[in-house]
Amino acid sequence: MANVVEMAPVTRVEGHSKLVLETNDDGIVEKGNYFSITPVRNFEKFLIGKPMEFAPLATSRICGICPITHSCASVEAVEDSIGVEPPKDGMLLRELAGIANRMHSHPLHSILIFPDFGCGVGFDKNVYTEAMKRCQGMRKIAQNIIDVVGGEGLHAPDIVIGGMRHNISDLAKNKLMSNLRTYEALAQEHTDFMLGLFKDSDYPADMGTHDYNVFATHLTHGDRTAFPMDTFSQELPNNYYSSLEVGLEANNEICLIAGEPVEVGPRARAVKFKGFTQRGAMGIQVARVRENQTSVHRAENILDELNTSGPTNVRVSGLGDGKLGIGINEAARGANVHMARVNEGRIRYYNCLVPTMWNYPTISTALEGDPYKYAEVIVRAYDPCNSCATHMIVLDPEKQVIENKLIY
Amino acid sequence: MVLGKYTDVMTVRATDKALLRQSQDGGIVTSLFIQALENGVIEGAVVAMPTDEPWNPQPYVATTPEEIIAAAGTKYVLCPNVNMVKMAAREYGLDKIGMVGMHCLTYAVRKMQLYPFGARHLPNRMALLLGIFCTENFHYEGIKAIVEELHRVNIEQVKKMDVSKGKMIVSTTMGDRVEVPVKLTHNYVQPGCFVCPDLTARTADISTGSIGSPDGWSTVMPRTQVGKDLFQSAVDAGIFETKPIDPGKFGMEMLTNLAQKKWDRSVKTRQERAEIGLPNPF
Repeated sequence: MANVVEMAPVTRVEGHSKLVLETNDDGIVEKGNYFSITPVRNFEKFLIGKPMEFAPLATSRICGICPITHSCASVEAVEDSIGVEPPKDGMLLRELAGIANRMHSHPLHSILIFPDFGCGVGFDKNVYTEAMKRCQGMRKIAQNIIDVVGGEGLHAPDIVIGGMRHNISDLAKNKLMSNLRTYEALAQEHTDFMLGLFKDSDYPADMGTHDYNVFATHLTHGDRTAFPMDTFSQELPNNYYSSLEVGLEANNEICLIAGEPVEVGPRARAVKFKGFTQRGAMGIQVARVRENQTSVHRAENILDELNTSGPTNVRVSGLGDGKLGIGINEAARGANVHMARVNEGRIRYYNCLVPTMWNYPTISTALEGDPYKYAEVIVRAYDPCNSCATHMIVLDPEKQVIENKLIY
Repeated sequence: MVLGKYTDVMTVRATDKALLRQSQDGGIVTSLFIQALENGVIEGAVVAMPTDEPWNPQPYVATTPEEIIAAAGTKYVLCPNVNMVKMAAREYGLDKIGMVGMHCLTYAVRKMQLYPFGARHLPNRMALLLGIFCTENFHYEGIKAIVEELHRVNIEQVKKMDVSKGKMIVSTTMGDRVEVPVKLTHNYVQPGCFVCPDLTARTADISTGSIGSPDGWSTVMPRTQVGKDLFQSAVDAGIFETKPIDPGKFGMEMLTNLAQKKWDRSVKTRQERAEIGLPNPF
């Protein structure tokens, strides 16, 4: 029997997750299992029957790191369901808020992976302090954008069905533009620093490679027309992981396209829209730090394009007739898909396919063929956020599983 | 001490005659905000801006002298300026915010600065608080009823409202002047005012109002270092002419008496509320 290595919880990732690795005698992973052990929180369930305006407010609370992407995906799912299209300036501001969210999350992830690349204990203290300050400086600027555009830095109340509640003033626009220039300079320094760290590391170039396709809908915002409604599927973990024991412990679903896992995230976007070719864990890291520049340039373009006197929302007149609406926002960690059916102004069905749900099976496969000691490094390259848990089992009094079902 | 802490108290009016014609008394708040804008003390101020509905102002973030002048003059109507302060720090992108208000508003902002729950970034961005003397205030429906029922004037024709020497005076666009004893208006006062103990906005940086000074002049009380510096810079720039406040019956004595009266009314009201089991804010 193969050796089994368990690591729980995996550290320096968002939420609680676990690794169960079957290794050979050389310590090489033969079967990888990466799954969420974050408790079920029932967002999709308790939204049912609630007014549609509650959906973006509630789903924003799924995560404190990317609340904006959940708000955006949620309002867009509801808008799609009830047939509302926000005006151009509203969409620009919404995209800006989403980008700013990503601009703060990526430097935070850099902080989390510093020790993997020797940047921690024993590293040049001054360089380390500078790097930390730079990351926090970038995060501060990005959070300030969300403050101004979304009305609050964390759970932005101004992202509403029909657009954005307010436009921003000319003064605010100029200040944001000036801050973005600062961010641009910091991001350049940060990229050079991180690429240097990657270069100096002795991780093999093919660490964490897999042969699956990538899935990305847009470089900076999200495009619901790119969602493969006909070929995607959600599966219970019981059947997917290497043993039923693991499957029952896992609190996540498995999302597949055409029966196969896909990779989402910065590398997926870079491969699809920018011709990026590097593979594996290091490819994701490189794509991620480079994405900061893409984001800041797009943010500057948005501010250039924004008309501060233009309307940012439309009056919502329809209350929906149960049509399935889809909202997609390209979050820091990949495509975040929300689906909603709204009828008479109330949510009748809600489903979130958060980025890491796509990545769980991909990560599990990517671990195979590498030494188990690299497993956490590979996991962190995907920057998983284990905050969505939608799987429930029902036990009888004798603790026997009598029902497995997805919570919709 | 019913007047709170202050570094100085004097009688002041603006030197700009055009401004005086537009403002309520001495043009103090308008001049101070413009001076603060030009000195870089603030980047904008939350003021009560007239709307299409006559005498029903709404909070407004003014970032230019023209906008501040457009909001000049007292409106005896509740205007929730604090509501706009957070927006000033967010969508308007102001790092240094000014606000004008009576005690209830300045006190609320000071509380937000102490306990900034739901008001992140506000504590360090509130740069200037101007306080206005206030004995009581009205809902829009209340002031409309007073003007139309007691003064018998259509509110659309009102040019200026003023309270002076126990009378509420309404001047109309036709040139008429109608006076009604203030005590007749007491039935229309919004009830929160009876709990309020503070006439002179003790938590502001500078407080001002007409009580204690002759017509066309205002009493000014700088209270904090920020207020003192700003007021001094305005005096040095020749924006204000000042004279010592009259210590007598129609000056300091009247101001102290009225402030004491409001204080006593508050104590009495709070006792009455406690007796019948109603909650008190302090």
